[in-house]
Amino acid sequence: MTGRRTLAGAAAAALSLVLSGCQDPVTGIFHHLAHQQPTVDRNLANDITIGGVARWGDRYLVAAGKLWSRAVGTDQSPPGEWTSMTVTFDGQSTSAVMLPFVRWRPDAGEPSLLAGALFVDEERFALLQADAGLITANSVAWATVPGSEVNGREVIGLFTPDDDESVLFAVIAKSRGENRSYRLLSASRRSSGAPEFEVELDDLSHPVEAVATDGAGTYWAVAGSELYTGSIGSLVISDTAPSPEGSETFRSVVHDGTGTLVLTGSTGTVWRSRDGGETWPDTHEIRADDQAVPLRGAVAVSSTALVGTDDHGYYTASLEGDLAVRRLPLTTEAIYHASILRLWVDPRTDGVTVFALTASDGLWSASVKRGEVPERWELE
Amino acid sequence: MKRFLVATVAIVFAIGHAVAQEGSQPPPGADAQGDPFVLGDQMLALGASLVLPLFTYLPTDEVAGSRFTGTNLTPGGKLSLNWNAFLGPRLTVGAEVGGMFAIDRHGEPLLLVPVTGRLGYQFSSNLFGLGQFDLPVFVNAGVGFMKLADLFSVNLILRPGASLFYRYDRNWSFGGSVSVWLMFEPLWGAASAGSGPGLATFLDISPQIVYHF
Repeated sequence: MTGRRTLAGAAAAALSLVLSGCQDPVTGIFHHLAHQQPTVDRNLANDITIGGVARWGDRYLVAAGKLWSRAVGTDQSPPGEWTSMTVTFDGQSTSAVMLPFVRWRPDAGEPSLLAGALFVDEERFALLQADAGLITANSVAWATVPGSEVNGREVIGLFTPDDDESVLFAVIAKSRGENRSYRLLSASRRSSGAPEFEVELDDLSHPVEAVATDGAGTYWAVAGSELYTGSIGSLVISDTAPSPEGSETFRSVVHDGTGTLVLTGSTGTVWRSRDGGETWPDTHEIRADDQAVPLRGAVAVSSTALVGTDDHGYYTASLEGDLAVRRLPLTTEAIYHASILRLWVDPRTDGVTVFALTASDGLWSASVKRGEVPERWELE
Repeated sequence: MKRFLVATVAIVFAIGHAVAQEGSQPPPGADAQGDPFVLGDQMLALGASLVLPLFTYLPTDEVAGSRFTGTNLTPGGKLSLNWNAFLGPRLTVGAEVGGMFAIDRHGEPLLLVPVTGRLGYQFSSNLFGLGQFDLPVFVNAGVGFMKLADLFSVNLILRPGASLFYRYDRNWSFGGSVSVWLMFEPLWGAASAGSGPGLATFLDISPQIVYHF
């Protein structure tokens, strides 16, 4: 009798496996392998952690401790090789580690570059700025941004979420040690050539992980288990935000420009709102091998959000219709297992060029036409 | 359930032992006919293979204008265990299980667990006075459980091949097999965008050690 039960159980399990397998679209492994292309691998080191990517004219600049640049590339000319840039700091050739890194262009004026840096020899943190006239194809002359808000403070993150990169957000560590607290600054104009910072959020127990905007003056920021929203100078805790359970914290917030918001969590939860954050009816918990997958930064591409993870590459979440969350099985191996800290979309390409900024797995990029979702990635 | 399992194992062991006892006696006239095996003789073979990818055929698609294309896999390896029983002096039936792997061009391992039945026909001869050599030809048929990253599928296997073994003594033979894997992967459901079935082929070169009982 027990044997019959065992056989019946096994048959039921096999049947359910077959039936469940029939529900989702099936990808043929041999078919997939036959179409597999070799990974394009440019000359940037493949084991570095990427702090930031920015577009400067017809070149991409990358901060990964050092600063690197290459030509963007067009249909007529392929992307160039990455070259290490010569940098100076306040006129000195000291060495510094640069990670957070953005391009900022307030008031539709001259753009500048900003970077958070650690001067290792002096054990000193600084926020650095380089104006357009001090940037060439292979060199940047940095100057320390003055001001008590940032002077000597560790810069945790820099964000310019608008397509025109006009508003700068800087996440600053107010204190070091066990009881760290953080501050979010914003700047939408210059004063005496430097960002004119305002304090948006203060005494945060967790750093701001991401900032998003609808492009119409409303911003969202996530720190710890809180979602903040409002216009510049008036960010407040959202009273309609979902509440992460247990120790989960928000890791990213994305706005697609049409009222859809996506939040990602540190223990695998994806939340979606389709009414600008008023209600959050759609949630999904991402698990792999019975473990919650820690999520990282995210970005909206067409009608899909790409969500970075720790050690699991990225997942896609639909911004329209059902919140269909899935891991692309066909991505290349290295990005498939990469820890993707952030994703960045070049705001100034005809199509869509996305960069995946990883922890110790280098920099990946994918270019597609507008309306398409990247699937094939190139290793920079 | 436990008693049933113990009883089953004991019966199989007893039968195997009895058959091995009987089969270990050379059949009358075996040398003269070159057929040293009789009904009930059994063999257990352990093999470690080099698996060389040959080509993939896509029945519903093309790559660079051709339905035949490379597998995009590195040479791989396989460990296998196969069991055969003689139905007569030359005809055998059996089964084989194993584990096989190869690496795709992005470094992801393709893992395959083939489970096949086996039909063989074996010639035996004393070649050049060197001793007894066995030359089985065989065909395996069954299924393979295959995994690549998050993809999983079941394919259908047909594997013809031939072996050559030197009979070292009453219980042991050494030699090898060469076989061709034809693995057809249908789509067990609606195809995802751009996907389709595929037939992959491999050449399997396998040194083997065989235990006769």
